[in-house]
Amino acid sequence: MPEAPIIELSGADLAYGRRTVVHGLDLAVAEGASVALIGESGSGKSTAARAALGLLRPVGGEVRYRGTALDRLDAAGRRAYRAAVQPVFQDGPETLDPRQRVGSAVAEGLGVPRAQRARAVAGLLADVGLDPALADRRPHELSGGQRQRVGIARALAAEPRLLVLDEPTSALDVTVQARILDLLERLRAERGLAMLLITHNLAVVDRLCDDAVVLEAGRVVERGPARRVLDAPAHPYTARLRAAVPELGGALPGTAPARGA
Amino acid sequence: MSIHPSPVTSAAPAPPVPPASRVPGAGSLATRLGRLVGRDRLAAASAVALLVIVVLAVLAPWVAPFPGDGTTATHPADRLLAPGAEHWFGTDQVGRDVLSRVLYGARTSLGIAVAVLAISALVGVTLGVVAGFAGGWLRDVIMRVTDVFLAFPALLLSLALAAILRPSVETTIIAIAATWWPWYARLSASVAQSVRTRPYVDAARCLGVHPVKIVLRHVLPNSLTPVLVQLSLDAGGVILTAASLSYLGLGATEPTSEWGLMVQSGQSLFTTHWWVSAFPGLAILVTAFCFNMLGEGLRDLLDPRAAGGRS
Amino acid sequence: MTAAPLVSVRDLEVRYGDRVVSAVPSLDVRPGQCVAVVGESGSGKSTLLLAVLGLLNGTPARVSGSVVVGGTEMVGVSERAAGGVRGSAVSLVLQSPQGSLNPTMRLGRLARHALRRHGVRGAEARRRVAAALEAVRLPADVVDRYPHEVSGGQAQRFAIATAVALGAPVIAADEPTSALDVTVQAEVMAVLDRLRREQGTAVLLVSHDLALVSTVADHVVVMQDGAVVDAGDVDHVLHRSTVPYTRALLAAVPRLGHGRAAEEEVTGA
Repeated sequence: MPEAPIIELSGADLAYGRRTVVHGLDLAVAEGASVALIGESGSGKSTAARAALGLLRPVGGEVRYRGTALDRLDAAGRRAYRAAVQPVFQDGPETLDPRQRVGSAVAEGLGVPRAQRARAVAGLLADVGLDPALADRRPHELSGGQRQRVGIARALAAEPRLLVLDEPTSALDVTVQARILDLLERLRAERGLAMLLITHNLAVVDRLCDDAVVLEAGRVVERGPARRVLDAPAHPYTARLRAAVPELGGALPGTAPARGA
Repeated sequence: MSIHPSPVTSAAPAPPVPPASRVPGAGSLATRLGRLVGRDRLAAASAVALLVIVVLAVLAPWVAPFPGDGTTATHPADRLLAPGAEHWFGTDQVGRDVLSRVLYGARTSLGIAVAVLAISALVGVTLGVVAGFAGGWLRDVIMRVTDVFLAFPALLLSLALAAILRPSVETTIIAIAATWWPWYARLSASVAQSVRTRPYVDAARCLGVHPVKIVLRHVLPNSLTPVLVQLSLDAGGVILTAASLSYLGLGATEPTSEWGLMVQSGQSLFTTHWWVSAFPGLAILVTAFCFNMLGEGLRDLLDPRAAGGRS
Repeated sequence: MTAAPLVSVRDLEVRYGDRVVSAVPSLDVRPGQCVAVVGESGSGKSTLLLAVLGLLNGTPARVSGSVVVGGTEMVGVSERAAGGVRGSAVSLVLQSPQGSLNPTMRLGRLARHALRRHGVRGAEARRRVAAALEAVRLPADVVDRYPHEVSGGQAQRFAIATAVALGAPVIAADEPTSALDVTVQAEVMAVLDRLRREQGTAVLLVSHDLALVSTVADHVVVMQDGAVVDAGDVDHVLHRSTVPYTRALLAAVPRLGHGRAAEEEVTGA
């Protein structure tokens, strides 16, 4: 008897005010699975992430946590959902509260008594490859890579089962990106975490994800195992995405510029 | 597919934390203060001037040459003496030392400014942050009430209220605060609304942190900077308004030392005995100006990222 | 065949206080050449571009050395002289196209303003703009649109068209495609490449994206923490460089399918 996926969007229509940005999205992330939601700007991928995180209510369809619709969860269910599904946002000036110290940000999700908090925070910081002494710093004193690690530690504090990562490495230098991807891979292996990775970077998908869903203008155009979707795309949009990725030392990605595109 | 890190990358130690001086907008408050003084001389000078004014105001009973004149004493024999050795600012129609009255007037004006701004900020920011964060019908209700108050020209509303109540310093405070709080409500509502959409607030919501805690821990501290800047800029305006009310006879009354009142009383004598109006008028001008300059400087100090890309 | 360089940098050093932010001993951009300056944040690559455009004058930065653009020395030059060079000898394309376009003016007017500042008016200006739009494959009616009415890719191509219309022999581009979707990125880079091949326009490209750069550049300069650590033609830098930082950058670039062959060997799949 298969277990219900941790998060499932079923026929979800997502809108901002009167503008519907996602139409009829079906997306499921099972325990331990790693799913990529691929799309360019305007595809609705970040909106879908917000819905999965319970930050945006669908105007049509449902978002379910372990089989139960989010708005039908009781108090205990809500608490379990909140702990189980955690976000990791793109690095930016507002990903961490600029006025809050690192240690305090990480501790926000902890459920331990006060006395043990410092030790728990130190443990989490070490888990993500940071010096525990950074707990007293403020975000602006850290580099982009370090801030991203703090964001991951903050998410891990809640002991989640699913991480929703929205462009987690896009704003980072390329050498730093590589290290963060190493970290995510390690955490996934060590903790059996599931991941919903929202990105436009196909190479990152290739590295981290088992399955891929491709969004164009708010609709799914292709889905399947990541390897197959990337190597043998069935839909022209996916093929265009794939072709546009510059290969190191390769020829200029040959996309004939259409007039007015 | 895996990225095969070259031996260099895998052996590389965790990146060192960049020293504070390399990171824009960083450094302790003291460091930023030092940088600010170097960069914005006018703000620094204004801050010093205001400090002097505040100190003089607080110490007026001891610093003023004729402390009694600040309150109730009168010396008809010495009326309308020109500025000289004994009375640096001269004397007024009833022989009171103008310098002493200007110093006592500073106490009155600054006291009014503090009271008005405290009330306005407390009421305005509370309502504004609640409105901005909660959104929905609560926000609509609060904003409509704010709009009603804002629909009245501020000075007129103050005048109307002051005319209803008996003229006094307390009346001045209430009348001005009643017209000032809506600005803080609007300001903090819009700031709170933008803070609400920031990733770290989303992260807190996803962690299940209670909305009240989110407001107190994240929204409020990050909404304060524009409020603090506004407070400093407004101080000058409040002093001017208070002076206007007294000038019109609706605020402080004799024998209270209040700059606006003093300007009004010496007005008819201006061509012959200019010092009676000129010095209190100058005091209003200088104080309001310094508060404005300080406000601009504070903005740069407290939120370097907002300082026009200087960081 | 080495034509005289359009941009020539010698012993450039930019300091903020006592900290050297960017140090470039030697750099040349020749007609028809695409020179890419690659580095991560803090490498000093953008500062180099600012120096080439004379945009550091009047800032707290202290600049020493020589940067000759179109025959004019840009280090210490007056703002008026620099303004003359910008647009006529070298044009700038920035990362955020819509950020640098006046939102209240139609695109056509913006282009004509830029041209007027360099003495090109009326019919001649219109002709040049039309030819430039053709070169970047934008429809002619884009001149009637406002900046917010066109997409990021179109705005960026418009910025390039303006540079082309000005006739500058060098286009200096600072992360021109970082803010764009990957499909649009390819189109914009194709435009720059075509300009280079068909009109001999030189390109000075600053980017953090080594993969992108490797597909268009002839010559690559690698910067780290304000210093040049590697330089050479693209083939050498990509395949034969022995500089550890360059190797680290190359290794860190996530590549599609690259490691999978090795994985499959290991698992025998």
